[in-house]
Amino acid sequence: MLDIRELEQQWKRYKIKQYLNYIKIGGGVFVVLGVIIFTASTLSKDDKEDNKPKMVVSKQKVESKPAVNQVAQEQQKENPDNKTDKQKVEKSTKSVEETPKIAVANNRNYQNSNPDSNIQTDNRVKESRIEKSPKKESGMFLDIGEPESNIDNTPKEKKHKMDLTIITPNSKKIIVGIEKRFRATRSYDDALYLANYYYERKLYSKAAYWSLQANIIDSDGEESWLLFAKAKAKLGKRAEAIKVLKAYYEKSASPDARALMDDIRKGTKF
Amino acid sequence: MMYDYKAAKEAFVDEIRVDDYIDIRSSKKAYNKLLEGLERPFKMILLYGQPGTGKTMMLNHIYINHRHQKDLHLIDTPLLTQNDLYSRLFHIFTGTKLPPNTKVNFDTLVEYGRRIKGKREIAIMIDEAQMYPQNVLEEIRIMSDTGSLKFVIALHKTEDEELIAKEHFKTRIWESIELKNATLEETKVYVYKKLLNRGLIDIANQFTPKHHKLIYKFTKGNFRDCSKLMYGLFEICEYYDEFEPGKIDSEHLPIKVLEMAALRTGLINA
Repeated sequence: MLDIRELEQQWKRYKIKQYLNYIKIGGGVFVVLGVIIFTASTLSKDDKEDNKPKMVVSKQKVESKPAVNQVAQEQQKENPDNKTDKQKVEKSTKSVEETPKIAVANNRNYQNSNPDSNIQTDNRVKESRIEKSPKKESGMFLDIGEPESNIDNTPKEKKHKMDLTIITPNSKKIIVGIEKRFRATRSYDDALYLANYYYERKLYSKAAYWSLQANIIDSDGEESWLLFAKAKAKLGKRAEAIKVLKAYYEKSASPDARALMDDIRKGTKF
Repeated sequence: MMYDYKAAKEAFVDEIRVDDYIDIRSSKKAYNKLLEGLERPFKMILLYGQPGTGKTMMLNHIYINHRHQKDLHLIDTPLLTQNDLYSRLFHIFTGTKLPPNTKVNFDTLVEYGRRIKGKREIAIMIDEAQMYPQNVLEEIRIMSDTGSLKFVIALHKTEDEELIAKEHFKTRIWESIELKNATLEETKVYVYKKLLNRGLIDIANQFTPKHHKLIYKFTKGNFRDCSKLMYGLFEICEYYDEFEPGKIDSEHLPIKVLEMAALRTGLINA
C-alpha cells in the first residue's frame, strides 16, 4: 500500500542528509586546504627565522657553559695566529649555515671523547672556537657550546602521546569471554549475540553454529531460525536454507520467514 | 489524466514475460553465443551472472523461440531431490509423465541416454542451478557424459556458487558466458524500449539524461532493480496524477518522484 505522506517525509530526510553530506565534504576540503596553507606558511616562517641572528640564544648558551668558553678564550689568547689562519680557511670554504652543524659535530666528538682529557678538550674547543670567530658577526656559530641534546630539548614543548585505541564491545577478548560464559550459562541471548557478531563479520560458518546453539536452547526464537537460514544461504547452501525456513514457516506462519525464503529463492539481497 | 502511468507501471512488473524481452547489445552478444553453442557438440555451457542480469529471461526467450526446431527443454524451477531429477528426465526422454507412485532407476536413465546417442540431441537448460544439491549436480554431470544430453547451466554469480559449479563440472564446461549489469546507455535503452513496446512514447520522452543518470546510479545497471524502480516511479506518478496533479509536471518527470521511488524500493536509504 502506497503511503505517500510517509514517503514524502522520507524523501525530505533523504535530501537533508544529502545536503549535510555536501556540507561535510565541503568542510573537509576547506579544513584540508587550511592545514596545507597553515603548514606552508609555518615552514616558510621557520626558514626565515633560521636566517636571523640568534643573539639571544647564543648569549644564554655562553652563560650556561662558561667552562668551555673560558678554555676557548684562553686558547685564543695563547694562539692568535693559528686562529687567524684557520679563520681565513674557514671563511673561504664554509657557509654560514654549515658552520653550526660542523661545530656541533665537532662538539659531539668532544662529548664522545674522554671529557677528563684536557688536551683533547682543548684541541676540539680550539677548532670550534676558530670556526666561531669569523662568524661572530652573524652569530651563527654561538650554538657550538651546547650539546645537541640540549638544543633539542630546551625550546620545545613536550609532546604528549594520545592513546587512540578504541575499545569497542566487540573486541576479541570480550567475544572469547562470552563464548566461555555460554558454556556455563547456556544463555540464548549470548548465543544469539555471538551469531549476529559473526554474521556481521561474514564468518558465516560460525554464525550458523551459534544460531543453531541458540535455537537448541529456544526453538521458538524466530531470530535464531532466520539467522541460521541466512548464514547457510551465504555459505551457498540455499536449498538447505529454504528447507529450514519452510519448516519454520509451517510451524509459525511467520511473514519474515516467508519473505526471506522468497529472497533466497529469487537471489535478491538480504 | 495526461499520461497512462498505469500502463507504464504494468510494463515493469517483475515477472517473466517473453514478449517483453529487450535486446540490449551486451545481452544480444551472450544470446548469440548461447545459440551458437547449442549447435555444437558440447556437454555443458555455463551461463552465470549477478541476480537480475537477465539469465532467466534469456533462457525463456531461447526456449520459446527454438523449442520447435530443436530438442530443447527448460527446467525453470529447481529440482531439489534426485527423484525430481529422474522424473523430469523420464518426461524428457519419453514425452510422458512418470505414473504416480512409480520410480525410475538412475542407471536405467543413463543406459537409455547412451542408447539414444546419435539418434537424439537433447539440450536441457537448467535455471537457478545454484539451488541444486551436490548429489543432483553430480548426476547431471553423469548424464552429460552419456553423449546424448547437453546442459546449459544458469546460476548466480557469487563467489561460492560460481566456483562450486566450475569445480564440479570442470572439464565438461564447453563455454562460460557471463551476463553483466547494463551500462548507462543500455539502461537507457532498456527503459525506453520497455515503454515503446507498450506504445508509451510520450512517457518515454519525459526522461532526460539526468533521469537516466540517476536511474543508473540507483540500480547500477541491474535489470531487476531497474524494473522495480520504474514500477515504483509510475505507481507514485499514477497517485499524484489522480489525486495531486499539481505535483506532476506535464513535460518532465520530477526528480523528486524518482528519488521517492528509489526510497520506496529500498535502493537508497533516507
